[in-house]
Amino acid sequence: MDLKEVWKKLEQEKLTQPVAGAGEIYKTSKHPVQKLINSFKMALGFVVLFELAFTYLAIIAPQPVVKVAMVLMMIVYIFYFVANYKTLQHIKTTFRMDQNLTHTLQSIYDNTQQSLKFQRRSALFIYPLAATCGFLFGLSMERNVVEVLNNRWVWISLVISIAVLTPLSYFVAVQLERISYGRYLNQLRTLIHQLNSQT
Amino acid sequence: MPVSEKEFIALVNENRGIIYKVIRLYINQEEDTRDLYQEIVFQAWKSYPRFDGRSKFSTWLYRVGLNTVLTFKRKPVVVIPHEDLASLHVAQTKTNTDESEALYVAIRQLPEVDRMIITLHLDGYENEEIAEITGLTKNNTAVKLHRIKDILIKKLKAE
Repeated sequence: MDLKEVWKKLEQEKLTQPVAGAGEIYKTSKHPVQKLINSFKMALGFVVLFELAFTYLAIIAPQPVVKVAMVLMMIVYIFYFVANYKTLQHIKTTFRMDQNLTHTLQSIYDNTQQSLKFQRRSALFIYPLAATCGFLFGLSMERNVVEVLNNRWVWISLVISIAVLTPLSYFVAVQLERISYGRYLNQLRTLIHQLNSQT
Repeated sequence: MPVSEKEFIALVNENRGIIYKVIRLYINQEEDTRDLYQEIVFQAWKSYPRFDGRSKFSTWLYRVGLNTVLTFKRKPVVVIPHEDLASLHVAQTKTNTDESEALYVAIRQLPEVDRMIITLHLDGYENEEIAEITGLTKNNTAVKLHRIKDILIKKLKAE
């Protein structure tokens, strides 16, 4: 039996029958990688917002030590911006449907996981710094920070704040990461698994 | 060479039979077809700036279509109760006497990647090209293709 002959007949009769939706290009996609791209874009937007907020706080902060703290936070968020931007660019350049599918998806999955892992780990050092900045900013509204820091109880309060806020912030960040990236990464992992198991 | 959106749509429209074919081979639910058509065209539009023209546009679009359909999140297929399945099979064999219809049914029963391999083969692609598109080795492609053809011929003869 010549399958190619049967195939030609099938093509004429059934396969090339029109489907609904031809015409314009609707510039939206339901693809999990596109959703990841959107999440990274949103993350970049938030980083820019935080940068603006820190810039504003650095300007209005009445004391130099607080201004320095805010500038430190701005530098940290520049690193976050670069990390997210690099990952976004990697996904955008790798995500092509005319390439080897398994390699493409695997590369995007690995790179995104690596980037998120780096951000999660670095956040453990950032949260204490952020808590300290917030603490100093709050103090600076009514008192001279340098003088107040001579008080032992202020240091104890600062340590307690850091001890409480760091794990709490980490927990919240992990939950947000799960919402923004987790389900799409899971979909990607499933797809890669399915493709690998079939090949 | 950059093309406008209008020119690109014209190019896609000239080759839309390829997209229809991909959709008809992989989609069970009619309501998914519109979304998938749009997804394929969108992915092609995004990838097109890097289309280098080494292959024909139709070949390139075929690849984009197949890759998109494999990663498209389809609505779950409605599960048919076992007793209804038996009556459906009888109805199918009564009406689908034509060989091409039987081939269509047989191909759609294959795993997705196997479906991709056999359709590329039937459309005249060489094993090397199929290997490149699917990410398999050339040898693995040849082995799989041989096995798939055996399965299909057996099924068609059994009809």
